[in-house]
Amino acid sequence: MVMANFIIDSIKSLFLGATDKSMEEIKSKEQYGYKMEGDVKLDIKELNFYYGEFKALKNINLKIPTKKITALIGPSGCGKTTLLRCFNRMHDLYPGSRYEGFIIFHPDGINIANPHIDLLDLRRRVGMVFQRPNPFPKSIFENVAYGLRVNGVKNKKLIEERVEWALQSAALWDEVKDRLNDNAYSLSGGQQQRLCIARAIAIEPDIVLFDEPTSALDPISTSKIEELIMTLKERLTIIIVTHNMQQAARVSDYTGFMYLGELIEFDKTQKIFTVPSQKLTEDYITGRFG
Amino acid sequence: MIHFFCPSCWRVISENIIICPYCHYDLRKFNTLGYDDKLILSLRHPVKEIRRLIIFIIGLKKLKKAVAEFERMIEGEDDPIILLEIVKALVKINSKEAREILDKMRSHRFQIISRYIERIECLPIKEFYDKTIIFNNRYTC
Repeated sequence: MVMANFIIDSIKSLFLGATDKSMEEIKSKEQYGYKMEGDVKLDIKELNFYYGEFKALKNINLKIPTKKITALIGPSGCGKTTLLRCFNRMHDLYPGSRYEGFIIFHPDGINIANPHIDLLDLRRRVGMVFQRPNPFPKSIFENVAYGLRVNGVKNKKLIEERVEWALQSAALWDEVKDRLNDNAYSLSGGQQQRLCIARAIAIEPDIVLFDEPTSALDPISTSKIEELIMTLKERLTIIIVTHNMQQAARVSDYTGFMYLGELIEFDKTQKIFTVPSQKLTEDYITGRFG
Repeated sequence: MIHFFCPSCWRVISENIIICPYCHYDLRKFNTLGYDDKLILSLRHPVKEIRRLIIFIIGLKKLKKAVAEFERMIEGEDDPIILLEIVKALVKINSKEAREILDKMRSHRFQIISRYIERIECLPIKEFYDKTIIFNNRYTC
């Protein structure tokens, strides 16, 4: 049994890039200068990311807490979307991208930055919602069922139950329950975005990444999405990139401020906005640059 | 492309400039200011979303020294969203001066403002604070 565990650990460290020792090192709660309540879902250590020769992320050290909302803010081009896209390896879709460092996915200890991990499995566990709603050209039902089918779920009743659950969780069920076979494009922009959220959560990921999910929506739809995001954190870990600082202040528990590819400050949201510790953060919040 | 603004006249200037070429504000002086003073200066920011955020933060910090600036803003402000944010901040600050301004705004020409003040007055103090000071909650009554 001991031998078997040893072999499993060895294989893990070889293919996944994380050892129990590195995990223990990561568990120090004040390692990065801020206190965190609860467990860590993602532990980012010394992360650098390159688009070809361009270093877009510089030595990022950050812990993303489990079942909390973490917001990333900063001026355009600061690297917040680049960082977000590292968490489900979206950059791999484009040639010339390169990662250095660790993005440890807890509790398994998988290093997301390791080139050998199973990307399909990663993206099943780390869902994403984009700036503009992007439903598939299918029915409302099929949009939500799609991820389940791709993941091998064939039981019709189970699929129906999961679709209903996802649509209810996305606060869309009451609006679409009588027209599940209508094309998803028949929905309004705000409804389409909630459909995309339903699609993302239908397969029960651990994390959902939101890349400016309300920037293309009107204030009422924005408000619904924000409420939905706050509800979802009971079950999921949420990371949101937003240009809207007030949105970050309203919805998030933790906020990271990024500038020129560096993480300048990360702390509880209330602290970041009321008593920032870095002059750069102060100047950004007060509109000195942007 | 990142733009830098003069924190006095809020025109676009170069990043490392020391004296604003437009209003001659000495930016070295700005760098010695505390965060609270920077927040108050930013109440004059030309971007509405930033002004709104700053008012929100001032409310959270219950920054009494911003009340005079709020009074100035109310006189010239035509945007009901900004005015409502100021009212919410004044309610949180809850100083004598803040309450006097709220009292004057009871008959404001924008119904959204006068009705908001009316509604918060009818809430018992504890309930009102429960609805306003929790950071992550929307605090409309």
